[in-house]
Amino acid sequence: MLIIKNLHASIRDEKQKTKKILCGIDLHVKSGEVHAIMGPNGSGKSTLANILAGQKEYEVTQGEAWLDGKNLMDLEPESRAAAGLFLAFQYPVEIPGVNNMYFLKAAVNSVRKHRQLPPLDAMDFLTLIKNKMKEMEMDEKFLSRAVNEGFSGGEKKCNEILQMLMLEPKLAILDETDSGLDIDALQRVAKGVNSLRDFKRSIVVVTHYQRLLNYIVPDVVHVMMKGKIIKSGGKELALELEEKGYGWLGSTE
Amino acid sequence: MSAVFSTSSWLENIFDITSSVFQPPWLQAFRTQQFKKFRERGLPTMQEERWKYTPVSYLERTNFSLPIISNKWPKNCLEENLNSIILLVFNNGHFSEEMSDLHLLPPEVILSPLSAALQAHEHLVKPYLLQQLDGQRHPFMYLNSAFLNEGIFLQIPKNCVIPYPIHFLFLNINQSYFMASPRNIIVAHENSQVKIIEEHRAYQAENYFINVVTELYTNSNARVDYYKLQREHLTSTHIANINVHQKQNSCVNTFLVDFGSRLAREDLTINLYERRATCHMKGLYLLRHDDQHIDNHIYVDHAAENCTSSVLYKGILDKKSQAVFNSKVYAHVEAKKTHAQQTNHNLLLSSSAEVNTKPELEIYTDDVTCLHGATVGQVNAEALFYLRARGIEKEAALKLLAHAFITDVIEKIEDSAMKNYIQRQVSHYAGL
Ligand SMILES: Nc1ncnc2c1ncn2[C@@H]1O[C@H](COP(=O)(O)OP(=O)(O)O)[C@@H](O)[C@H]1O
Ligand SMILES: [Mg+2]
Repeated sequence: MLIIKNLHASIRDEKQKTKKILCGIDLHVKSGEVHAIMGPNGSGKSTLANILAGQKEYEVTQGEAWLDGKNLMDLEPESRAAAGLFLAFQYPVEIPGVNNMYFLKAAVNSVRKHRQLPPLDAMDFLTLIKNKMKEMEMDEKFLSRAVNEGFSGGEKKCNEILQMLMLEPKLAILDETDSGLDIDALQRVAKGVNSLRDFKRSIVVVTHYQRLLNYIVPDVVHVMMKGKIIKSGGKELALELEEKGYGWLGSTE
Repeated sequence: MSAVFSTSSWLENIFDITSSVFQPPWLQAFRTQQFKKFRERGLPTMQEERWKYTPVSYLERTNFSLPIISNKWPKNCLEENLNSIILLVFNNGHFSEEMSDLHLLPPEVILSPLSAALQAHEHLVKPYLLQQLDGQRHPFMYLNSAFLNEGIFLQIPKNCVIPYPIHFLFLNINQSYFMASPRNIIVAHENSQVKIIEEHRAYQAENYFINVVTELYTNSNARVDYYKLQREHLTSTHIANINVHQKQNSCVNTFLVDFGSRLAREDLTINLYERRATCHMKGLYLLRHDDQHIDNHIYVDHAAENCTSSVLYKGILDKKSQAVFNSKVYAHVEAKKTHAQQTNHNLLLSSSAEVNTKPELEIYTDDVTCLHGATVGQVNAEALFYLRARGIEKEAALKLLAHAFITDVIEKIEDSAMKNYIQRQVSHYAGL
C-alpha cells in the first residue's frame, strides 16, 4: 500500500536557512494494516504526514514514497486524494466563507470524478452525509457552517473523520486526531475509523497516547525521533512507551 | 493632450448631429454650454490626483459614433432577469417600449424614458437637468450633459412604497465604436421607498464607450436601495457618475458590482446635506483579464450633524489586471456626531495583478467616529492546501476561496431575490 524509502526533507526558514526535518524515513504499510507512529514533539511526524499529502512547503531532498504503485511525489495534492490518500490534519484550518456542506460535496464529487464514478446528486449526497453524521453523533447544523470556523478542537477532529468517511480513502493518516478529545468523542472517532477498516485499507495513526490504540489496535508501532524511525515493534511497544517515555530510546542510533 | 480630444472632429460631428434632433430650446442652449465647458476643461489626465492610475486619453483617439438601435435582439436576453419587476430596457441607449414591462408600476409614480418625460413633464424634469454638475471635477459629466438625449426619469411621490424592484437594463447590442450618454434622474419624495437596479450588459457589441450619469435625490425619510451591475463587454469603456443627494433622515444603500469593461470608472458621490441621513455603500469588483482596469472613487460629503456613512468594498484581481479604490470622507464643521466607516479588502489571485487602495478622511469637526482600513492579500496557502488535500482541483479550490472572500458582502443584501440575482450573476459571469 504505502512504501516510503529513505525519505529526507527540509524546510527553508525566513532567513533562507535550510533546516533538516526528515533524515531518512523508511516505512512499509501493507494493505489492511494499522500502523502507529509515536514520538516526542518536534520529531517530524506531522511533517511526514504533510509531505505525503502533498504539502510543497517542504523540500524532499532524497528518497521516495509510493502509494499503490503510484509515485506520490509526481502527484498534485488533489490527485493524491483521488488516489486514495487522506490526511486528518493535526490542526485543521478554518476556512471562513466556505460552506461545510458545499465543501464536502465538492470534495466527494471531485474524488468520484477522478475515480470515474458519477457525481452524487444533491439528494443522494444529503442522505449519505446525514447517515455519516449520525454515526459520528454530529449535529446537522455543522453542515450549514463554514468549514471548521468556530469549531471547538474536538469538533474539528470529528469533522476530519466525517470527511474521511465521506471520501473512503485507501490510506488514512490520522495526525494526533485523539488529542483534545474527551473520552466519548475519542470512542466515536475510533468507531468511525474502525468502520472503515478492512483488508484493503490501511491506517497510519500518529499519536502520543496508548488511549486511542486501545480502540484502534495497531499491527505495528514505530517510534520516530529527530526525523528518523528509531524503533519498530508490535502493539506492546506502545504500552512500553506509555510507561517509560522516550528517554530510554535516546541512544539507540 | 486633452486639447486634441476637445477639438476632435468626430466629437464635433456627432455633437452637430445630436443638436439637429428636435428638443426644447433651453435644452439645446444648455447642451451647447456644457459642450463648450467640456472643451475648455478637457479630459482628465494622469497628472490629476484623482486620475493618476486611470488613463483615459485613448478615448480621444477613438472615433466613436452615435449609437443606433439594433433590431437583432439577442435570444433570451430577458430570461435571466428577476421575477416580478418593473423593467425598462434600453437598446444601444435607445428606449425600447416593446421589451419593457411597466405593468406593476403604481399609477402615482412617474417612470419613463427621459425623452418622453421631457415631453410629458417638461416643467418637472427641467430643473433636474439644468443642475450644474461638477464638471470641473468630473469632466465626463460635462460630456454627458452635452450629449444627453435619453435615460430614465423616475419620481416617487410622498409616502409611496414601491413593492417591486425597478430594473434599468441597458443592453449594448451588435454595434461597435459608439458612445452613449444616458442620464438617469431618480427623485424619491418624503417617506417613499424604492429599490432600483441599474444594469449594463453587452451582446456582440465591442469597443464602445458608455458615459452614464445617475442622479439620486432622496428627500426626508425616504429610503432608496440602489444596485448596479456593470458587465459590459471586455473591450468597452464604462464611465459612471452616481450622485446622491440626501435630506434629513433619509437612507440610501448602494451596492455596486463591476466585472465588465476593459476600463471602468465609478464615481460615487454622496451628499449628506441634512441631519440623520444615512448612506451605506457596498461594492465588489472582480477583474479576471489581462489589462482590465476598474476604478472606484467614492466621495462622502458630511455636511450636517448626526449623519452616518459606511463603505465596504471588496475586490478580487486575477491575471495582469489593475484596480483602483479611493474613498474619501469629508466632514464639515457642522457635521458633529459624524459616524463614518470605510473598509476595502483586496484579494490578488495573480502576482501580476495590482491594486491601489486609499481610504481617506478630511475632518473639520471633533466629535466624530471614523474608522478606516484597507488590506491587500493573497489566497491563504493553508486553506488552499486543505481543500486540495480533500481532492478539490486547484482551480476549483481557488474559486471557492475567492468566492468565500466576497460572500459576506453578498450576504448583507437584505432583499433575498436581489441577493440571489447578484449571486447568480457573480457565479455565472465572474466564474465565482
Ligand atoms: N513550516 C515549518 N516551518 C518551520 N519549521 C517547521 C515547519 N514545519 C515543521 N517544522 C519544524 O520541524 C520539526 C518537526 O515538526 P513536526 O513535523 O510538526 O513534528 P511533530 O509532528 O513530530 O511534533 C519541528 O522542529 C518544527 O518546528
Ligand atoms: Mg505533529
